Amino acid sequence: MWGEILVRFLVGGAMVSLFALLGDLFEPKSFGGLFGAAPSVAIATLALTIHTRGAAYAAVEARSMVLGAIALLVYALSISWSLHRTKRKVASAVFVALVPWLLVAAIGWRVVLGGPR
Amino acid sequence: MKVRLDTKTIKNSHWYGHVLRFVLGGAITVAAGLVAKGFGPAVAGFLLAFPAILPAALILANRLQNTQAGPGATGARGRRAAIVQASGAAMASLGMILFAVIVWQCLGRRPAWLVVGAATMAWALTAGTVWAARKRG
Repeated sequence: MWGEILVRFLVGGAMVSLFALLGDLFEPKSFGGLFGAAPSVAIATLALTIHTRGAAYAAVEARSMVLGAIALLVYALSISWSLHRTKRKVASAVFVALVPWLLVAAIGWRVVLGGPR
Repeated sequence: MKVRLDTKTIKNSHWYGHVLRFVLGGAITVAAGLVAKGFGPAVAGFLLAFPAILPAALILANRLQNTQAGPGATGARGRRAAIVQASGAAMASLGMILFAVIVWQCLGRRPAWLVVGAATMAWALTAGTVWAARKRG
């Protein structure tokens, strides 16, 4: 159990750091910003899940990830809109935008995946 | 506008930024595993696209740019940097949707390494194409 957690932590951390480093390296910054929504956690998690539980189990995770990615799109657009149109601080905007992320994810879970009613 | 590699940003970055991203990345990957165990893969899947790294990246970019602007900084430079990065993340999210669709549809039918590799390529191509189209338009 603890061994698996440690492996997950190291693999996830390494993958995220790798993509973040790539984002830092690229100019212009608008291109580097693409790496802010890189599938780094997904690659790490899917690789570990496929290895331990098999492809079918990982495919179920990927199905929900489609909805999570739509929610991520809404999250990033919310921050962009908020910083453009309001005087909200960056630190505040990134946390407030979690509300639309949660809403889209919850609606997706309930409507598309038939979550708890 | 040409895309190029520039190591200057890494030299200007702080060690705690790298540590923070490593810890956040590790933590969300652990969380995805624990949630899958407790609530099943359908719930855990949402965490695969959870904005765990983006908030930290935007806050760090804002802070770095304002620090570089000097003591008279109004905060506008950092704010602009955060908007640019958030817009980039929105474009890359479209690639993330395609990544997830490919993995969902193809996993089990083709070798796993090929599916994840192709999905990653699709993410990069989509994100890059949308970015280039936006720059041109």
